Amino acid sequence: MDDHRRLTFLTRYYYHLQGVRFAPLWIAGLFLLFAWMPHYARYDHIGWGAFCYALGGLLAIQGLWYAMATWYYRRRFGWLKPDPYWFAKQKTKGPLWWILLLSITVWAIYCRANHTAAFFPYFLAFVVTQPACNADNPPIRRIIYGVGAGLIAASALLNRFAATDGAIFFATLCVIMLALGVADHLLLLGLLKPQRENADA
Amino acid sequence: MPEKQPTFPEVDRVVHEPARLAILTVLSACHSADFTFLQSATGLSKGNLSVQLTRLDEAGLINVDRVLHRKTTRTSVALTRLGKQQLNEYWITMKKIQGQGRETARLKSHAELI
Repeated sequence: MDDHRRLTFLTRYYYHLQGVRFAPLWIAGLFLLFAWMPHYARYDHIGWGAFCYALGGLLAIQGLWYAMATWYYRRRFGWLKPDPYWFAKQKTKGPLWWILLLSITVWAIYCRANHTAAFFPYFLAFVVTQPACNADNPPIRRIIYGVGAGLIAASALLNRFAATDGAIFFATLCVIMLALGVADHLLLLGLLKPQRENADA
Repeated sequence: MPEKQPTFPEVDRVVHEPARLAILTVLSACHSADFTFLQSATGLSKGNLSVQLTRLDEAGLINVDRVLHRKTTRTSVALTRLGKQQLNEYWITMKKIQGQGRETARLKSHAELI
């Protein structure tokens, strides 16, 4: 990646690359899933009270982590005010992608409301493909997001065959999103330059 | 009669310098950025970045805003309208030079073949 492209990408996607800020959300998802699964398998009392307290506590940890991570990024790498964000302008063939996304959203809501099919996982997988379709991203980020979206979609299919009522899909989603967050953070570190002194004043 | 040398268009020396070009590139991709971000992105030292910012501010290409916050000064930098215009013109000039360079190389290789 040349210097001009690196600087433009880094500045435009600075906040997108701070994926670690959402890490506890996915860890909490996995934790709740594993806490809930044994109860579900035995069809016994799930313990909704404890479940709600755990969820509330984990969300509070997420909020605290988010604030701390934001403070860390700001102090370590600085702060910027982004240009007004126009989703459709951020990618080649952008408007087409967003029209498709809105159509799928409406279809997913319809499917969910009528209990005709568990369409939501495919919709989420499609959302994850957004950076993969974005020509601004370096090839490595596009590949990683493409693979991630593929795995989420595949887990939804597997979920249907194994009849686990969403557990495989949900676990895959949490692991993939956590991995993508860490990958984005590593990419951010890779894009920031060590100090140089070669420019003349 | 000596062969006529191609004349390349003049580039703006204030914009053309690598460190200043890096700063302007960062600022062209956002609304405004603080001193720490500019330092992290460009890899310049504090002193060097400060000198380059003063240079760009004097040329009217950027707008430096210093705000006192809890005993520390927060520096926010944004590109001015003139800065955006100069940067666009710079890239247009660079593309022209690139085109001319390609054309010269093509003619030279053609002449060598003959």
